[in-house]
Amino acid sequence: MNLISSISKSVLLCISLCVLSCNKDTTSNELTLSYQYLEDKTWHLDYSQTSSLTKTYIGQSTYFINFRKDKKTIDSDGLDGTYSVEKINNQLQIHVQAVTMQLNPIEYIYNIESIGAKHLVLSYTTAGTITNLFYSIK
Amino acid sequence: MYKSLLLVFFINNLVISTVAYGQRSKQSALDIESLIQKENKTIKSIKTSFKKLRESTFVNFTETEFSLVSGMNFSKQIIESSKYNSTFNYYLANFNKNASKPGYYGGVRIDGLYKQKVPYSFSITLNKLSTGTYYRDQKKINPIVGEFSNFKGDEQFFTLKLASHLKQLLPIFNTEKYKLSMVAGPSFDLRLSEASIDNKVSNAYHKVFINGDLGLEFNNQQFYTLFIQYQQGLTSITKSPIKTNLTRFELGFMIKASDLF
Repeated sequence: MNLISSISKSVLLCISLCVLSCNKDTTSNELTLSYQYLEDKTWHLDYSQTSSLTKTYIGQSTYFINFRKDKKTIDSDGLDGTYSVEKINNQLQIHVQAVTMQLNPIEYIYNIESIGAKHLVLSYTTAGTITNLFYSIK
Repeated sequence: MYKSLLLVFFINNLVISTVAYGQRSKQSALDIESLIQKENKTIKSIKTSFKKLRESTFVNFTETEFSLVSGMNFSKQIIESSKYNSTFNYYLANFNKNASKPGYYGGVRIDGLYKQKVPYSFSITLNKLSTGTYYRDQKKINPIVGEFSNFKGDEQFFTLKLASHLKQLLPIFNTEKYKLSMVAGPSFDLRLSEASIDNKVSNAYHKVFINGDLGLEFNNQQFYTLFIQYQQGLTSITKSPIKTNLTRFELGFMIKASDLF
């Protein structure tokens, strides 16, 4: 009888563990997933959109940026440096710290509007005007 | 989570094995036959106490038969996610498939009579579900061409299912030899598998899925039973505002445990 009681308790304990087990922090998962989609890919700019004006770069020699797994980045303008994904004020951002070909340091931050395995939408604001950049992998 | 469950079982087994090994090494000098007799007595006493417990607890459940069940399932998720927004986009052309995918399951089942007249069955099975995912609504990311969703359904699940069914014999064949029964009742899937990284972000899936089951069973001269069941999700398996309906067909085979052991 004691054995049966122990088995019942073990089964109950296992079920409780399954039901009550905690989830990893959501922000940490968001960052992990963002890196997973961003890394080891070269992203080509397809469109830029400011207010109602949309420019297309499809079929043209266009800007591209590569994000490597070792958190280094290089783009078609020759900017070479490191990047990180952060979540500030509930907004995912890409933070790039690089140097130009003339070795001048440069730092910029883009908001991640949407990110997936093949499509990336970034945005930045200058003088109150929002510009959206639409990237894809080829 | 599934790993933690395995860990608990592993530690349990390790402790039991260690104790058994210690006991056996001490008894190595004893006669082997007396040891076997002792073990047989222990097994017998466990069986007797289990039977007593069963009979005292489940007074209204009689003529119980234990069986082993196994089979294949075909599952599909129908997803409505247009009201859900997130930073992540999923290009639907890659995984929007209005089709069921095959999985498998196995477990044990108890059949019997409730209050001497109502035939019932209760089953506990472990299920590997591989589901097709059909997205009923899509989103656009203008000016990008194509259809997107902010939610990506998990396609693989490992669940522990508890099902309780009532049976009704259909007077079609010679019921002395062949029995065709209709079965119906609820079932509950406890999700044991972890969510994918995509769904850890949304934490979209519930731990328990509630289903309504309807099916037919064919028993061939008490040798074996074949069955087919349709299972319809009674509630969404994802949290609001995402609505996901899980539907499943099960084809199975059942054989009495007493015929095997």
